[in-house]
Amino acid sequence: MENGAESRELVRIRIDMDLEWKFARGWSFGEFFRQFKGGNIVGIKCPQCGRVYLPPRPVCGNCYEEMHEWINVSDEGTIRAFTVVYNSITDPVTGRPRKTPYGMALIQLDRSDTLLNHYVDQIDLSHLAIGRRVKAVFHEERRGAMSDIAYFRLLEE
Amino acid sequence: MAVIGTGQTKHESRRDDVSMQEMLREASQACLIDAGISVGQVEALVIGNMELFEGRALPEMWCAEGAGFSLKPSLKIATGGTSGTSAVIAGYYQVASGVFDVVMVVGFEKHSEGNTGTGMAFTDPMWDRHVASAAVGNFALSISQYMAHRGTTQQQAAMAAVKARRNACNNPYAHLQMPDLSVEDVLNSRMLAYPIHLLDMCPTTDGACAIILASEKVARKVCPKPAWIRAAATLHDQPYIGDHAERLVTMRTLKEASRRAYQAAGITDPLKQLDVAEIYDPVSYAELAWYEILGFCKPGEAGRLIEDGVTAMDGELPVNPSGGVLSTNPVGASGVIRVAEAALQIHGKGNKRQVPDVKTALATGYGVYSWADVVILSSSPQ
Amino acid sequence: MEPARVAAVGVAQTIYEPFKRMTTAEMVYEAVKGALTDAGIDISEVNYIVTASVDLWDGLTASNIAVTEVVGAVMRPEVRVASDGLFAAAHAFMLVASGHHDIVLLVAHAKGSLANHFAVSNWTFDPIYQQTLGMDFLAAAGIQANAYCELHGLNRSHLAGVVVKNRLNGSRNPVVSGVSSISREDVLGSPVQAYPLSVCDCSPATDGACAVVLASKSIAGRFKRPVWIKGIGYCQDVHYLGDRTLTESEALIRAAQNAYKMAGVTKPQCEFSLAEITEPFSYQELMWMEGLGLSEKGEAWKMVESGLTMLEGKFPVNPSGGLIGGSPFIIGGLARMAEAVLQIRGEAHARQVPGASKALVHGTAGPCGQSHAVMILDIAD
Repeated sequence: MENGAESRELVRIRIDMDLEWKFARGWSFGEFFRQFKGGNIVGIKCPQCGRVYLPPRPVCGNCYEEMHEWINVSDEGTIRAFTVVYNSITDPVTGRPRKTPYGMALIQLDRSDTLLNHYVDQIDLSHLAIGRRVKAVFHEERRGAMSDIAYFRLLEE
Repeated sequence: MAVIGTGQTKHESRRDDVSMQEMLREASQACLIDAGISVGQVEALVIGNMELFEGRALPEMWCAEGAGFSLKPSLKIATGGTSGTSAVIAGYYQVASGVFDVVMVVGFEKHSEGNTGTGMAFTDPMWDRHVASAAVGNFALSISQYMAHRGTTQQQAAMAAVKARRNACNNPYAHLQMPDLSVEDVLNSRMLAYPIHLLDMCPTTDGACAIILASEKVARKVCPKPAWIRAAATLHDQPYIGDHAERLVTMRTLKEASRRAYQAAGITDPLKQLDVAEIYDPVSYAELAWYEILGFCKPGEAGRLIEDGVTAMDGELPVNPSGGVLSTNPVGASGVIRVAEAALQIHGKGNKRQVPDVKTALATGYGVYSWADVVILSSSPQ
Repeated sequence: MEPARVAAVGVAQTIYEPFKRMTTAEMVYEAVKGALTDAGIDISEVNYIVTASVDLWDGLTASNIAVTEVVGAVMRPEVRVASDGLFAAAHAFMLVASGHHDIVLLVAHAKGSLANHFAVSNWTFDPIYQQTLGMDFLAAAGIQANAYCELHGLNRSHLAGVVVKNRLNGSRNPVVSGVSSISREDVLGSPVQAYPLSVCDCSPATDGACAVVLASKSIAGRFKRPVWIKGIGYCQDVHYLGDRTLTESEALIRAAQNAYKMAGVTKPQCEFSLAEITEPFSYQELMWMEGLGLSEKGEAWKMVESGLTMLEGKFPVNPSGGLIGGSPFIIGGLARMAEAVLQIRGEAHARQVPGASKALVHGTAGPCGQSHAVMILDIAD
């Protein structure tokens, strides 16, 4: 292919993707969100290692044991990791850019063993630390989705 | 079996001068020339690519012929960030099975043609897709734990970022080449998500990389100095970010995969016995965390390792002479680039980035949440 | 030809049906659990896992992340072949044949209900020349079907027999739900979607998972009913529809040749008890039969019309019902393999092909059969 001395105009073809996917909740998420809509957070417990998992799933990945025991988990927990996000990305749910900055954390809800990734209503880093206690703040209207929790608020030290 | 040739494109943020097919051709062509064989001698193709980043479905259908393969066995491996290394390991097994003697592995990504942000739809739509903040967000969370546990500082992490972009200046293919980059520059760059600055983070890049794997019989015939594969290990882990309290701190997959690979390759003291390492470093802090997990130093000492220059080009174990993922990141190719760069060090074809006297090289892959690949190459088959 | 090194020692399939009310993880767990039980092994004995799924159809990047735990891939090696399940099977075969891994678990899943299949398939076509025309698998299939029919003087009625047969077989397959048998008149009377293909000529979108356990010869003695993989072959043609002859598939001919060579098959028309062929569209069963060497070019329809390929015929093709009979796209060739294993073991119940001992299995990926995989299974090694 020749590379001409003159510059060439780049032809751009834009193709927008507009696809939809329908996800099934199954029994695991079905039960979780049934309870969640009612304001109750549940985890599922492995009969072998005793870990309480959120979100629920058919087997414990470590033990390969089926899990059926639902455990009530608190709406309060401890920050195990945190950050403040400044860089706006396209929100994969809305398709629109996220408003920044926002605080985000991995929260271990009391009585659960896994960490929940969710928003924290704090963008001042001096107030964020591993070990701080937080509590879920629910939207008034519940749809039965994780975003029913608007964010977690820091509890007084 | 061995890697008998490598090839890659000039990696850029936008390769507007080539289509995806042409991009594969560039890497494939360079690889065939490097290996000194014709495409007719290659029996099968393994492609590594994360299709959703370019909004493609089954991109190997369109692109395989760009690499020179039509009417040949071809399949695609896709496992997130580890796609490249997984594709290499898949090719390894294809040759080891005896079904094929010569296999080409090509990894590629043309991020500029898609929306990588959409590609971040690897979170569960029913769980954390509403909050997930891409790779940066995920790493930022893990890094807060890592820093708390190991005391690693922002300065130390920035040193890894500086090393990478300066090393990249010796690599004619690398994307981000910054000869004058300083720690201050990194720390002054825009904060993406605390504590990750813009320059701590890998770029998104258009690029492709190809290697050719050959059975022992063929390798001995056509290659003067084959890079023999001594070990290949893969481990995956639980699927949610919160399933592990301290991912970067413990990284059990990489730890165990490297243990298995070291054992297979007879390595008991990685710092001494490895001559070069190409490790998958998506963010500066990860490189330090991997030093500890790969056994280059004790936990908590990674910062000291980089401050002492142990992993610099003239150090005891140069890490990422290519510039690493921090300098060049076409996701589907990044893993193949690690293996290619490790192999070409053994081939003695590193030119300005050649580490002297390389006999044993390490290549790693990282992806999704803690998926890990480890490959060890050597100038001797046993 | 050397003796076989790899055997299938366990299989399981979920019910294939539209709109499964299960998460992907739940669905795949069912198949994996079934296959492990069928093989009589524990997950801890699995050395490697090969999965098959396609991100854009799953609406999930790195779609194997949804199944990591249920396929036992936590702290185990797993690799995803993002294509039709039989390509994953070919790769899994190589993993075992390498001698490095004795037991490999192979799992394919798809949920046709997740997305609009044809809309997603538009993204398979090259974005420069074909995608913006609105090409999708349906339109492409229409083009190919027309070319094939015109070349051989065929029309819609020559394709209908495949639909009638596969719908009947699917309705009798216990792992298929929601597929009913259909008369030839109803097939010919059904609305045309992309001429000459009617709604009935296109396989339905269904959900499910299929798992197969492979074992190496060295340990196959401990399994009750190993079914040996005698040969594999796969081959991919060029992409642009206009760059290849659409009326026959050179890629399939070569894939079959490679598989036959490995298995020592010289007369495909006579050596198999049955064939399981992946047919996203009715006319493709005819074309793939020809590419596999089971019939002369343009003549496969006669084998269907004469009843030869019916379940009760001398050479059953798709006793499972194939894709038109309800098994999902992407799982494709792996479900064909599962059926063949059951047939050879004598476990196919009401659809058992008497004395089945050697089966031809086929899978396909890409528009208009751009890529094909072929596998030969045998009761003897």
